[in-house]
Amino acid sequence: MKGLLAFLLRATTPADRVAVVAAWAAVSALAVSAWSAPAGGEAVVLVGDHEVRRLNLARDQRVTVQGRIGPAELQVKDGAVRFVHSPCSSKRCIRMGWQHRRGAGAACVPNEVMVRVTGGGSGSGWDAVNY
Amino acid sequence: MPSTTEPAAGRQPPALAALRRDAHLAWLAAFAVALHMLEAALPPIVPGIKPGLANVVSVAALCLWGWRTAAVVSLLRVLVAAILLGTLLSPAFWLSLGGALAALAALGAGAALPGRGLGPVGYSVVAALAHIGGQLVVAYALFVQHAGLFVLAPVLGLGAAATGTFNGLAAYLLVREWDTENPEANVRPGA
Amino acid sequence: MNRAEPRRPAAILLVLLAAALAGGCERAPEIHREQAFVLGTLVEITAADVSGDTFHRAAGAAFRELRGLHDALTPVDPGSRLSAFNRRGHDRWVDLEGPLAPLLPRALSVQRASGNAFNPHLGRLVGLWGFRQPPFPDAPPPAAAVDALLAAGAGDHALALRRRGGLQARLTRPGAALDLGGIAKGYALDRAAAVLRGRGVGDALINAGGDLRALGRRGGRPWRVGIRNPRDKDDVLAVVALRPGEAIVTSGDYERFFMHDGVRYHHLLDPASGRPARAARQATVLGPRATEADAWSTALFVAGPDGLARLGAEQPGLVIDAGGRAHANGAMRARLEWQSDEVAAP
Repeated sequence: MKGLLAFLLRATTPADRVAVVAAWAAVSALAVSAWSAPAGGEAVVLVGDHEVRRLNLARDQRVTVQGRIGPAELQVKDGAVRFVHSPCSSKRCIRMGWQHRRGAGAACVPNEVMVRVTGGGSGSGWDAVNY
Repeated sequence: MPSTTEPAAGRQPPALAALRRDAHLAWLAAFAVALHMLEAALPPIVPGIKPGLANVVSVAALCLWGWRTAAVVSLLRVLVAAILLGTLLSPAFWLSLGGALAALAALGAGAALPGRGLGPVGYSVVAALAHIGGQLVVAYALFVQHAGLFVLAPVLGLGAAATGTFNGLAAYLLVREWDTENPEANVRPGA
Repeated sequence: MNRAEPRRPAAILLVLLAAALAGGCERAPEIHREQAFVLGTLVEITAADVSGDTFHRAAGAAFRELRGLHDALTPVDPGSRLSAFNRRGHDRWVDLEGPLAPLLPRALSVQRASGNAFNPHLGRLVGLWGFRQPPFPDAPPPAAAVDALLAAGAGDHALALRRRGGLQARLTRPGAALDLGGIAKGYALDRAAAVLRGRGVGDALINAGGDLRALGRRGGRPWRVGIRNPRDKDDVLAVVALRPGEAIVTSGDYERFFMHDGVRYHHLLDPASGRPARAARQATVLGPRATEADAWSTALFVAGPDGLARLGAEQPGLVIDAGGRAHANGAMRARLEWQSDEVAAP
């Protein structure tokens, strides 16, 4: 251990040590801030109470998930997500339209399918919407 | 361009010094290409994170012979390796080039620091971070215009810091090894 | 430059870097979230600054409590306590069991204070209009049927309580039937909050289909809730920072409704007319207890902007009237951070 330390001291100039510490500090700070608030829009799809899919909102796509009464189809486009097909009778989930704000989501209660935008998305100044 | 290492005792004629330098350059470039090919042949331990062994040579070249030598070695390595691997002008090539240019810019800035400045380890770390920064910018500008790309930045950043540190230590050893041939080399690791 | 000097700038740099990192970071709490489809809607619990284990056990218990409440209070299931009471409670005193015992006195209290704008026994009218369960009908019931129920006392003061050992209740008019849809969600929020608190979760936000109750705070700041524009899902009218333990409940004409001949028929019935209330599109109430906030938001919706006076000075209320204009009392105006460009601030 002492030998290793001596080697490291020999191998680096004072400026080196500053550079190395600064580099690691910067990179660690970046990692910490990114992993407590991930960048890039993402949505999570839940059936019942567990997560079944994670959707990258940066990639246009259509996915189908199995809900309690049937398959539900979701569409991702331009950083937003919505229901396009649902086996429920009221289709209220589809009428909820595009979701893109962080924390926003749409849910089909009879089919027990929910999609919510996590991380990224346009930031909002609130934790939930009352309606 | 005069070498940064002036012959000490026993003056050599300029032409011979230049020849010696060019031989070094060619040999350095070859060494770098070899390391690059070796790395390309091995499977990656973590996808997206490569040790960047060839950079050890560039940094050592910088410390021993100055920035321009390091630049020539780096760019030659990128070009030759791409030709040999068949990836010339492919996306991988542009990423490699972008990273190399960014790293060289950072090294140049580092070399301009006053005083004793950076040694192999500092240069290596700085160059490694600049390298992945340059690659992310190239990737964004040319291939993936989604900001989602930068989600990778933290992981790549940590990888770069790690490989930069270890490569730096390797570069130090390499310099020390080569330094015996060049007593005037402009690196003086901290005592 | 001699040997010693490079160390000083290096040290200064390090200190500055450390200070910058420390100062620049906002205190980001550890956030956990769970959701379940219960109470006929989506219920989400978000908690801060608590361990994953503690949270998941507490959330599980809260959802179980909510399922129990749903089973007891749903008018749809003939086996629920509510349905059983409605069968037996006409002209006979019935012992109140389960959640009915704590809930009915509070419901009656708001009914009186609101001048019957909130009415807990419109069950037969709600059934007649078809809003119990989707799919909803697409046409209103015959006017004669509605008037008949009104004449039978559906919209009067028809619930009596007394204490004989335990609490007993009785429906005093044949047209009346218990329907606690205007207060049950609030009560559920309060019960869920109590369960969470009892199991070590002190900072959480419970969202039951858009009505919310806060516990504690979210890390270094209060829980913040946006109030939605009743005619534009993407527009948030205002943001409110909830005090620790505060609830926010909204009644709106867009939750259960159908359109017929260009007219919107929704589930919030006016006890005086037996028909959907027409004075407002949306009413929002804040309060320390979600039970009362829920009942008052229903009352405020029925009463419209004039109902704000009944709320009292302490209870914040916001009404979006039938024309889309916003009205609020002083207590609410002090709390609103108005955001919307589409609706003018009250």
